[in-house]
Amino acid sequence: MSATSPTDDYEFTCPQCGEGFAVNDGMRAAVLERGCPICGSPTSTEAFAPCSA
Amino acid sequence: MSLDQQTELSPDEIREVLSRHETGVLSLAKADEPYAIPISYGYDGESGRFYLRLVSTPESEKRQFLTSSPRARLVVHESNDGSYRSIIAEGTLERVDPDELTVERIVQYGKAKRPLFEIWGETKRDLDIQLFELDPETLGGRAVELDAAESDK
Repeated sequence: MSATSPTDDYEFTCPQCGEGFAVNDGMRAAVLERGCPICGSPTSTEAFAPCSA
Repeated sequence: MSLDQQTELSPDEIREVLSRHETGVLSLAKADEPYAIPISYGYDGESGRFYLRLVSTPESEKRQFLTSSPRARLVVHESNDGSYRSIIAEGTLERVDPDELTVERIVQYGKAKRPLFEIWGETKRDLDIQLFELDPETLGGRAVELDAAESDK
């Protein structure tokens, strides 16, 4: 589990490589468009869970 | 071949060569032991940074050389009809932790091809995929043009 900051809105977990990290709205959009930055696999909205406050 | 047929590439020419390729040879060293591997890379022509996604396993030789911030050289070369070009980038290979990802980095790693030379025989969950950036301290390129008679030899 990665550390989150007040600007992080989601926790991303790649279904292919299992890597996870916190993202904000802009990063979420980039991951959805470009794929998981770690392994390069395509992603979907299901890979994002809202960060608990 | 005379020396005047070898020329230095301009920054724009270097950027063009690096942008139209996606593979090169990365060289690392540990004491006096060399290590060189073919890798794929992404290159951002604006920042001049290379983005690399390297795969290793705990037992792999590569892991031994990917210590914290190793010195590295990246060589990219091409040849075409008697024209030979090579680029050498040298600097410190910086590991990028997933918590250090930004929109810009996600975009750049998205452009970087998957490791074309890596054979992923195991599932991705069993592999250690690490992100690295190389911001070259030195970057140079050279071109050699052979005349038609010499290139036909």
